Amino acid sequence: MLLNSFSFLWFFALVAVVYYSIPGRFRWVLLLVASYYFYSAFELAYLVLLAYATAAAYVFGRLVEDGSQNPRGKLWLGLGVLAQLSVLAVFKYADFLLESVESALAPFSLFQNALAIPRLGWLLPVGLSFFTFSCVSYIIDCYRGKLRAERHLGHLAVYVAFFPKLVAGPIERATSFLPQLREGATFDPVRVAFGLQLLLWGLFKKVVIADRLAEFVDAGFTNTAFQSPVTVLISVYFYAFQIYCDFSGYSDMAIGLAAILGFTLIENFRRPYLSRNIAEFWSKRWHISLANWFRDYLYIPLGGSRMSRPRFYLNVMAVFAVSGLWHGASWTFVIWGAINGFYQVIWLMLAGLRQRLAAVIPGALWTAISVLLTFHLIVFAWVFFRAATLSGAIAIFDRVWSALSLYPSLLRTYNWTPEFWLSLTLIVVLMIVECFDEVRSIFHRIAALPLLPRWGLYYSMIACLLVIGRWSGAEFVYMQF
Amino acid sequence: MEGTPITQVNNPNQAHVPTRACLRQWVGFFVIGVLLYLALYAWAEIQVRTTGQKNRFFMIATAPPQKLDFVILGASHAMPLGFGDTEAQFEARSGATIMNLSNEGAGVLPNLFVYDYFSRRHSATNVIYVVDSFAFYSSEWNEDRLTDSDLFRRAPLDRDLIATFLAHPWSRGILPEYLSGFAKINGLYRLGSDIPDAESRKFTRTYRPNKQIDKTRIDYLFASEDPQAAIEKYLGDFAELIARVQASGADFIAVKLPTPPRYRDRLPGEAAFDAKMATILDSAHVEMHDFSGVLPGDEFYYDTDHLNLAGVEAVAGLGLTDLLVDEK
Repeated sequence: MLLNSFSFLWFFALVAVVYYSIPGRFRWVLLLVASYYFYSAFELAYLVLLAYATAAAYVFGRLVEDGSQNPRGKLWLGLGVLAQLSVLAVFKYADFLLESVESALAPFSLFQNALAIPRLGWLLPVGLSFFTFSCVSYIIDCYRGKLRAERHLGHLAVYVAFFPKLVAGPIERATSFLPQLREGATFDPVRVAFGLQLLLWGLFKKVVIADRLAEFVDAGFTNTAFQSPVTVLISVYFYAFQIYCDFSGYSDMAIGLAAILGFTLIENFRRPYLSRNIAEFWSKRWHISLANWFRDYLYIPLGGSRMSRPRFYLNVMAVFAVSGLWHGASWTFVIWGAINGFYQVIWLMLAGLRQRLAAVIPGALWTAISVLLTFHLIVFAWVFFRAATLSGAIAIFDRVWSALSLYPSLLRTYNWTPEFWLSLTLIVVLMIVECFDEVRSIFHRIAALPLLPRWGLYYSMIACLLVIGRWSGAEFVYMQF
Repeated sequence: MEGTPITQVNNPNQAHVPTRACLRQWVGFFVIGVLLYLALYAWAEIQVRTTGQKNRFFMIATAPPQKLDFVILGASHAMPLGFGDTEAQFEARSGATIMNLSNEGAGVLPNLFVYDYFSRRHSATNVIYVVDSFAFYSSEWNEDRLTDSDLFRRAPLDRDLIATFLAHPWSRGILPEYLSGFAKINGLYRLGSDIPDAESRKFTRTYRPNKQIDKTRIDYLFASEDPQAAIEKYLGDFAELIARVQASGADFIAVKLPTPPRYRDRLPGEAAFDAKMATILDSAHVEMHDFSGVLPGDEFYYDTDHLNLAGVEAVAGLGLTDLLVDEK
């Protein structure tokens, strides 16, 4: 049951109505039942993992509580984190590891296939990386004394399994979520209306933009050698917007759905393609909840920036490489993470040059150059993220670069379909909205509109969803992580 | 420079709006929304009816009630018999009236569904079923195909079609989507011409054989988790279709259309399927007219396995027209 399906929307409407109809003390039960039902729709057996993650978080949360005064706190913390990450290791990384070992040993093998290591072949459960990270953060926060270990197993289970955020985040912290759950929500029309707006905007980004761009992207990234270089180039640029609309669309929907139920989730995206540098992109604008997680539970424990220069750079590279691996068990993701870490290190090393340039180039021009440069660096790295293999990524670059001198004629003769122009228009509209949003929240702007244009805007967006939306049930890209 | 984070917009302390007034606004928004949806639905319905040509549901719904000599059922192999003016040519040569109701990727159940709908408006003296083994291999060409919204994108809103949906347990679940008109509304902006792509762009082409493409095509058509169980099930449904046709007073005629040897030889378990099919046909006293091997040359096909214009003309001269004349 995907968030971009009518069956989910009906399911959610039913849950929301029942949620506000029953007494507050029973609502956690409804949320838990709804969340487990939602997750079971992907695969019933996955519920075992969800229950295991919750039980392990509950037990170790209690054991590590106030770790500084607990002589065995560190031991329990290590075991607790291990209990969570081991599931991730088995389901997500075991086959990748076995495959890598096999490849590494292959040159030493005397016979072909002599080192054929058997694989587990287990499917990666939907959202495993997300709820595992939620549980790890909960255990560490209990250890650090930021949070009193939850005594109510049901409440903790709702925190882990809360269905709007279950399969692709945001990676919400228990310190923020559990108090909201305990406090309970009363029906607040303003909050519900805000949730509906976000739901509509998220659906629009996913169904109208992302899934439309996916067709162009798939064309360029499949059989690349046989595609026109223009097709490949378009697919590279469109992928940047596909993944943004796909993932931020999901996050917006998740935050909106949670808001309707009275919960505030962390903001996950903040106009990322308007970033002026890579550090801003990763720390403040793209997948914020994951960036915060890595900052709090990996980067700072490694020493962060309060170390020698080489160690600081090494910390940055390590965090990005692990972030790449978090996204997927493949070398393409590791390289993607390493490229982003490399960008960041270079950006830090060139601080002096940047300051000198900023002093001589007019402010607006410097901003425009920075935004465009950052965007293109990100687009370059996305190729590794999207390509199925390293050779696939290299084939993309090869196809684009090898035809460099031919582009004028290729562009003239390319079949510019109405679907392409519609897609491009949607991207332009999206970026205009983001530019306005950058100055003042688009939701504040809409709220300030008189009734007629405001409703007209909502109806237009709904009409777009109905008429030009792609309701083919395409999965969200980040669900595979 | 940065705008307000969205979570700050979601501030419960902001201007208080009375719940009752807010709910009244929402009801107003919902009612207007429903009215706008109905207007969009009506527009889509008009578009479907004004641009309709070859969609099978459109053809059945808009044709005046009549008794036809032949109705053709089947999957995409049967469709070229109605491409361009070939159907008119067959009618002129045989003196018979024909309606081709075959659909792309349509197995037994979609054909049963279409025939049931057809029978509520019209009748036929003969039903020609173009047999394709792949359509018996998987639910993808049967139950799943019926849930494909593309199939009903151009189906007009029609009482008889609603009755047809209700008549079969496997089609009842699709009725809400059909009634909502969503498939039509969602397809509005790409409605264009109601002529299949194969007819408008490919029918006059000649295929240049490619082993890899042939293999990909066969793999796609015959992907099945449990082919034997699927074949048993859909042959049972096929027997039911024959019984229904015969109960309505029409003759059932089974036909296999030509396919090139490079394609036919790759079909998995074709001989075993033919044997099972023969048992069903024999028990219903239906004859199989097998043209599958009469056109070996690639010049008769516009792709891996579909007859082009030259192929249809050739098979017409090799016995198909005679069949129509004899059975009329």
